[in-house]
Amino acid sequence: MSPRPVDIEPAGLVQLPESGLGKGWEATAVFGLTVLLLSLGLVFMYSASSVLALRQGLPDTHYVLRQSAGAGFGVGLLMACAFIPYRLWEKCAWVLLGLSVTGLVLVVLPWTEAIAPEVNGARRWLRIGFSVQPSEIAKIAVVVWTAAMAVKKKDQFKSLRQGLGPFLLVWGVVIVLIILEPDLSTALVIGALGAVIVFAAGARLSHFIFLAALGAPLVWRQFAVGFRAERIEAFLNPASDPAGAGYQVHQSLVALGSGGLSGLGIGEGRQKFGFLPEAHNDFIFAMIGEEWGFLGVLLVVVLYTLIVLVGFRIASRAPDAFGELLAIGCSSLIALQAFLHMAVGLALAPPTGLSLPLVSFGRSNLVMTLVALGILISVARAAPGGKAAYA
Amino acid sequence: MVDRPPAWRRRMLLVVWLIALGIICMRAGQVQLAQASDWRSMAESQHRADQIVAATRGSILDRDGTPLAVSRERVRVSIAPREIEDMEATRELLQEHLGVSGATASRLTSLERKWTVAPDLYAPDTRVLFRGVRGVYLDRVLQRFHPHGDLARGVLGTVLEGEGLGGIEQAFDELLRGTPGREVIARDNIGQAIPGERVMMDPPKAGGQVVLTLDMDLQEIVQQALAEAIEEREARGGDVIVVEPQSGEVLALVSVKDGHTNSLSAVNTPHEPGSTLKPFTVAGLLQEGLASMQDSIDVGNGTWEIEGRTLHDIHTQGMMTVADALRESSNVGIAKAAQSMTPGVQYENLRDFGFGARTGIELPGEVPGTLRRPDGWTPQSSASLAIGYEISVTSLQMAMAYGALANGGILMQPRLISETRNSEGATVRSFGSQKVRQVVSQGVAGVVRQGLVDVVEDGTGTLAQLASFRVAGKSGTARSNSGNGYEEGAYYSSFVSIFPAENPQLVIVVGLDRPQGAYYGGAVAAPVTRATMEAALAARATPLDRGALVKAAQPNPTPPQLQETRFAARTLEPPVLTLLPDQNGALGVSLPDVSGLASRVAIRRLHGLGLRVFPGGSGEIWTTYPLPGERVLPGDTIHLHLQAKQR
Repeated sequence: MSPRPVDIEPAGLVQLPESGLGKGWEATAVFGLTVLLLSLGLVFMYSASSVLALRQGLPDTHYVLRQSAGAGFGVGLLMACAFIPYRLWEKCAWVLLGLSVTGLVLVVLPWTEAIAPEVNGARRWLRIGFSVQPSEIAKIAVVVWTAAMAVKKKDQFKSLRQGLGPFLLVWGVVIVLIILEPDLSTALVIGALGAVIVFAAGARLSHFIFLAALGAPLVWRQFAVGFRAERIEAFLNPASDPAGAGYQVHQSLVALGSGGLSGLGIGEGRQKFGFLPEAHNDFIFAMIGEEWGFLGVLLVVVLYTLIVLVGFRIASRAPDAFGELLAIGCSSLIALQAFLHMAVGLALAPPTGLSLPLVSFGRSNLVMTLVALGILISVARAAPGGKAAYA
Repeated sequence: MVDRPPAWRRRMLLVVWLIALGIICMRAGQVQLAQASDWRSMAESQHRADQIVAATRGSILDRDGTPLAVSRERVRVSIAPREIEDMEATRELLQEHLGVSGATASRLTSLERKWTVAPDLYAPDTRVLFRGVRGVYLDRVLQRFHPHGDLARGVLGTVLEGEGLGGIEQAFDELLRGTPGREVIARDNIGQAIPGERVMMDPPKAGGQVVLTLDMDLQEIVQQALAEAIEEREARGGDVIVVEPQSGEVLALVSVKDGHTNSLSAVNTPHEPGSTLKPFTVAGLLQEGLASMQDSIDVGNGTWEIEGRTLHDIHTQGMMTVADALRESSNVGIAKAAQSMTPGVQYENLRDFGFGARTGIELPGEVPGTLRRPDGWTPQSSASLAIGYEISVTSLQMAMAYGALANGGILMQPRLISETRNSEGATVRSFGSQKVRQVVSQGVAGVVRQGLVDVVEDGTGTLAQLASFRVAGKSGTARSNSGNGYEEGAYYSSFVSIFPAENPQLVIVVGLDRPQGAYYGGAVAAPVTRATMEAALAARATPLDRGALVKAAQPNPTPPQLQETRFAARTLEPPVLTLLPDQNGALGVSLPDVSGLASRVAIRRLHGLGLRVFPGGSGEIWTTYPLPGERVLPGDTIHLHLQAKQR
C-alpha cells in the first residue's frame, strides 16, 4: 500500500471525490472555499441565531436547521450548475429574465397579498409552497442576461441609444420593481452588477459618467424616503439619536470593537442578546468580529478575497467572452455584497440590510449565491488546460 | 479569442475589489485594534449590571428569644425545558425533590414553553440536589416569615421589597436590613440577566436582631381574647395593651381594626377615654390636697348643669363620697369635685400623667393625642376633662398613666425593645427602664388604687374579678367622635385594670371600638381583661413573678360572685369552676376530660380553670397527664398528648 499522493497545489486543501469537478484547480478551489465559508457561516449563524430563537420561544437550533436545509439544497444546485455547460445560460438568458420579472411583478401587484404577504413593511417573498425572494433570482438573471447581451451587442457599445439603451431599459424595469417592494439595497446591487459587467465588456467610459449622473438623484431620493431616511440621518449624524436608528450601527461597532484582536470566544458574544439587531442576518459580520476578533474578520475577508481572485482568474481563462463576463459577474456579485455588508457593519456605509454571502441567514440569498458559484465552477471547468470535455 | 473584452478593464475591476476588501481590513483594524478599549468599555457599560444582593434581614424576637419574624432563604426553581438533556431523569428529580405531581413535572418541562417556574419556594438545600442538572435554574429568594402567623403583626410591621413598613420593621429598618452586597451580572438589552454570568463583588452582611419586651404567650392569649370579644360584640376593632408597671415594659400589644391585625391603633388612634380618666382627676385632687376620698359631694338628683352642659348619672343621687363617686363612676360627683382645681392645676395634673404628649415608644406613627392648654378651654372644659372628655388619649398613654398608679406614682416610658443584637446574636445595645417623672406620691397612688379595687369588687367592673387575686380597675364608655361631632350609637368601651391590686405586676388596657348591643366598658371590655389575666396566670411562660403572686393571693379564695352586672344587656357565661374540697379537705379541681377536643379549645378550657398547659404534638387531644378526673390545683401544669386527627 503506497500512500496516496498528496496534492500540494493551493486548492489541494480540499480533496474532492473521484467524480471530481474537473481537473483545473480553480474549480476545486472555488468549491473548497465555498464549503469552507459555508461551514464557518453555519457556525456563525448558530451562535448568532440561537439567542434570538430562544428569545422568540423557539428551539435554539431553529434558524440554523433551516439554513442547513437551504445549504443542502443550494449545494445540490451548485453541483448541477457546475456540470451544466455555462453556455446554456446564454441561450436561456431571456427566459431567466422573464421568470424573475414575472416573480417581481407578482410580489408587488396589489391583489397578490395571499402569496406575497407584507413582512416588516416590505413585500419581498413569494410564498408558493415554499418561500422565495424573486429579487435574489433577479440578481443571477441580470448577471446572465447582461453578460449575454454584452457579448451579442459588443459592436453597438459605442452608441448610447443602440448600445446602452436596451440595458438601461431592462435594468430599469427590474430595479423599479424591486424598489417597489421596497428593497433598495438589492436594487442598488443589481444596478451596480449590470454596470460592472458592461464596464468589463468595454462600454464607453463617458457612458458611465452619464449613468452616474442619471442614477445619483434617484439614489439620493430613495435614500431620503420612508424608513430609510432616519437611518441615513443617523449615519450622517450618529449622535442625533443614540437609542434610535444610529443605534444599529453603534451597536455593530461596539460588537466589533469589543472583540479586539482575538475575540470573546465562540458563543461568548454579548451583543447578540438583543443589542445587535438582526445579529444572524444584516449584522452577522459584527457578531463574527465580536466573537472571533480581528483575526476572525481577517479570515472572512481573506476567504472572500480568495474567491474573488480565483473568480477573476477563471474569468481570464474562460474560453469565450460570455464565460469571462459571467465569471466577472458572479465574482463581483459575491464581492459587492460582502463588501457592502461589512462596510455597513463598520459604519462605512449607511445600514442597508444586505446579507453576507454564504453566512447570513436567508435561504433565497444562500441558494442563489451557491448557484452563482456553481456557474463560476462551470466556467472554470470549460477553461483550456484542466477543463471538461465540452469546451 | 479575438472577441475578448479588454483585459485592463477586468484587471481594474479586480483591483477595485481588492482595494475595497483592503479598506474593510484597515477599518476593522482601526475599530478592533486601535479603538478596541473604547468600544470594550462601552460594551461593558451596557452589558454589565451591578446588582444589589439583599442581605438576610435580622430576626425580631420576643423577650425569651422566640422568633416572631425571621427571614428565610428560599429557592425559586425555574426550568428552561429546551435546555434539558435527560427529560425522564429531570422529571423524576422534580417529582422527588419538589414534591410535585407527575402531571406538574410534565407541565414544567413541556417543550412548548421556554421558561417555567415551579409553583412553590423551596428549602435552600434544593440547590445541592439540582447541582449540575441542565435546564434547571435556582434563584435565591429572601422571604419574611412569621412562625406564629399574624401574631403581633401590627407591632412587627411588614416588609415590602426589602423595606420595613410599619412597626418595628420600619422603626429598626436600618439595623434589621443589614448591608446589601453587590454582584456583577451580564445583562441583555432589556436588562435581564444572562444565565451563568455572575460574580459576587461584596458579600452581603446580615442584619441585626431586635429583641422585644413582648411575651409571645401573653401576646397570643391577648390576641385570641380580643378577637373573640370583637367577634362576639361585633365591634369594629379594639386594642389591648399589657404593661409591666415597674419597668414600663410592654408585654403584649394588640390592635385590630376592621378585621385587620396589622393595625397599630393602640398608639396611633386616640379616643376620648371617658370614665377611665376619672382616677387621674381624683389622684390630682388628692395630690394637691384639695380633697380626700372621704369628702362628701352632693350629686343632687344625678344631673348637674354647668355652663350650658348637663351631666347625667344613671343610678346615683344625694350625698356620696369621692370614693363612692369613683366606684360608681359618677360623672356629676367627679366633675363637681374637680371644680376645686384651677384649670392650670387640672391641666398640669393630666399633662404629668403623660396625656397630650407622645410616650416615646419605639414604634412609628405614634400620636400625642389632644390635651388643650387652659387658655383654650371653654367654661365647661374643666368638668368635661374631669370625666374624660375634651381630651383624646391613646391606649398606650392610658396604660402608662395607670402604670403610674400601679407602681407608686411614677410615669414610666414604655419600652418595647429589650435589646438589639448583631447578626451573630451578641448584644449591641440594651435598653433600660426609663422613668419620666414622679407624678403623684406613693401614698396617693396607693389610695387611688384601693379605690379602683372597690370598682372591681362591687362597682362597675365586677366582671373583671378573679377567684384568687384582687384586681383594681376602671371601666370607661365614651361616645365615639368621628371628627364631626359624636356618632349616634357609637361608643368606645374600655377597661383598664391593675393586677394584682397589691404589688401590681400587670396593667391591662382593653378597648373596644363601636361594640354592638351592650356597650358599657364594664360589660364589654372587662371580660377580655379577665380572660387575659386567667390565661396569663395559667400560661407556662408569662413573665409574672409567681413568688410575689403567692403573697398577693387571697388566703381564702372564694368563687367570684358572678352577679349580673347592672349595665350589661346580657350576662356572660362564667368559667365553669368545680372548686370542691376532696376527702382530705384540700382544695382542688377535678380535671375535666378534654380528649377529642381541638387543642386550642382544650387549652382555653384548662386555662379557665387556672391550670397551666404544656402541649405536645399537634392535632386533637389524645389524653392528658394527669388523667381526667384527678384532682389538680390552679397553677398545676397539665401535659397534653395530641394526636393527628383520625381520618
